[in-house]
Amino acid sequence: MKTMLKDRITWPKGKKCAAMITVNLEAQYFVKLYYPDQDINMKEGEVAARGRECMEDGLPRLLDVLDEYGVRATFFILGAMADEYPEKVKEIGDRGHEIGCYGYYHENLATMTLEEQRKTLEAAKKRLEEATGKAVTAFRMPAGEMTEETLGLVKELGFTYSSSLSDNDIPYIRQSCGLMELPIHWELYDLPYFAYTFEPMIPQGQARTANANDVVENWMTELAGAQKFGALFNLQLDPQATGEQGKIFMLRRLLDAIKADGSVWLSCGDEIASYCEKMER
Amino acid sequence: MALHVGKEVKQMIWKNGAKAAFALGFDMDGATIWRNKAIKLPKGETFIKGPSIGAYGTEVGALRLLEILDEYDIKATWFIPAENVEKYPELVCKFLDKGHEIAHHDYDHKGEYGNTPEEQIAFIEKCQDVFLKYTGVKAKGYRDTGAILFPETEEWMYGEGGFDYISGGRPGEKCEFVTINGKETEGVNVPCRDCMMDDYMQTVMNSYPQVLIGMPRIAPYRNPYENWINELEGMIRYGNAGSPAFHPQISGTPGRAVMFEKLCRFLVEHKEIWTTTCLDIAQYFKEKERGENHA
Repeated sequence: MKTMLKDRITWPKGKKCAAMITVNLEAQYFVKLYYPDQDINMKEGEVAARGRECMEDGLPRLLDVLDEYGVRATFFILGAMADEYPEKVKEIGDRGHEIGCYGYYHENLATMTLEEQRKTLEAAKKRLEEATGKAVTAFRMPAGEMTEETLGLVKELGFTYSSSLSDNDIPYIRQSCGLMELPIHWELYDLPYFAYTFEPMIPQGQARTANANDVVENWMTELAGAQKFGALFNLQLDPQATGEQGKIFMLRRLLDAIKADGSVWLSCGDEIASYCEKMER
Repeated sequence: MALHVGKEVKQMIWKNGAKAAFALGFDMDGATIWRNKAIKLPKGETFIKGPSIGAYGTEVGALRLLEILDEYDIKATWFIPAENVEKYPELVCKFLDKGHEIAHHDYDHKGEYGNTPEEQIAFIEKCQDVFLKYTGVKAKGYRDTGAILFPETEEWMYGEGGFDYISGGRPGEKCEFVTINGKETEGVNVPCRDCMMDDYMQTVMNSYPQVLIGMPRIAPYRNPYENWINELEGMIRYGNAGSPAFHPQISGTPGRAVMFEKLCRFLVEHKEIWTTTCLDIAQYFKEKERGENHA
């Protein structure tokens, strides 16, 4: 019998594929994606401005659209956001979304000792749990890199899944540490298409900003591919990008497509991870 | 067939009267290119995120492309660093079982072949030994990873070395015999049209290390696709042969695979294009040219 790749996994209720919407909440710390090892002024200037736009314009709009479509998303949040915007972080949890950990200050984990990583991730998890009153069991690697040791630690700290790597397009259990991984791919992340500041240069090559119509077309093509090949469509949004007035249409258009024919299992990270965990074991 | 400026260009007629010959070429680099980049950063040898992007190609992407090629009954050429032949012998043998060609693409994609012709030849032979050990066949085609070969190395390749062709690292649009120091060899250049047909350069992304440097935006998938078609139309118009540098870690992701499938449909619907392996193109060219000359 011929086993096709799409038969690797069976999605619930005969659905062709799964989809989840995630939000990386990092405000001004997005600069770490472009300058992971440098000290950049985040308190004033364009980077700070983008951070404020993210929290004041992008986030509320994103939350409203998610509500409108009845979508429960996973918010990967920096511990620092709970210090700087405690009400907003609490509101995200109160509105029913899953809370995940994205590091404390966007640490480049691979460059830290295991003990430093432990302190950082423990502190971030604890801070987010205090701020939201919810258990935090989802992990996404902050900007930079991580190691197998990091994932072992993540598992040890009580996280039930990671959503950080790109070596598959369906959830899988990582052999080295036994942790569930819900893979992500750069093409399904809005920030690299749109991040822009003049000073410091973001992106460093000062590439032209993408056309939002093109970006959503790429996402629709990936959605069609996920449906055809039975994959997990794992979208990453940053409120400073998709949450803005000229780009929020992308999320609407995508959610319309996801809901169009009932063939997509639109769920949340925790539910998808727990479904796959049961399937695997 | 030596072409000279000012003389009428003789247009090649390919198999079954096709006007162009095209070989889908996949560089199955896997994690090698990511590891080679990471190693330049502190603790880079422990990184797992970047290498996971490459691993997608060998874990999932190649299988997906294989399924699509099956569906359209297209045979392709897989350029594989020998290290990946050692790591994924089952996958590589699957390529062969399905009638595809496997070809040389460095050992670990570092482009470090040696500082003398002897060293370079020994390096290529080391890779050939890996191919032979794990698959029972040696490579007959070569695609570069940036290394500059000595003229002596290339002369050896197209003679005693047993290589029929090179695809990559040589300029040109036209399929022709490789000339070294003014002397035509038995090696054929099947042009690698990476400037118009490299999926990686158009849609890869990573932040640490930055890939590509400066982090240009991921292209709209439509852009590279339309350039593939532009390139194929040019090949038809000028009677040329060529091969793209596609990468399973890129073209194999669900959305890009949709675009790849669209390309396969285009290829089977256009009989003006003979779609086959690089080796088929090189051997057909050789037979036709040498046959005619000796007739």
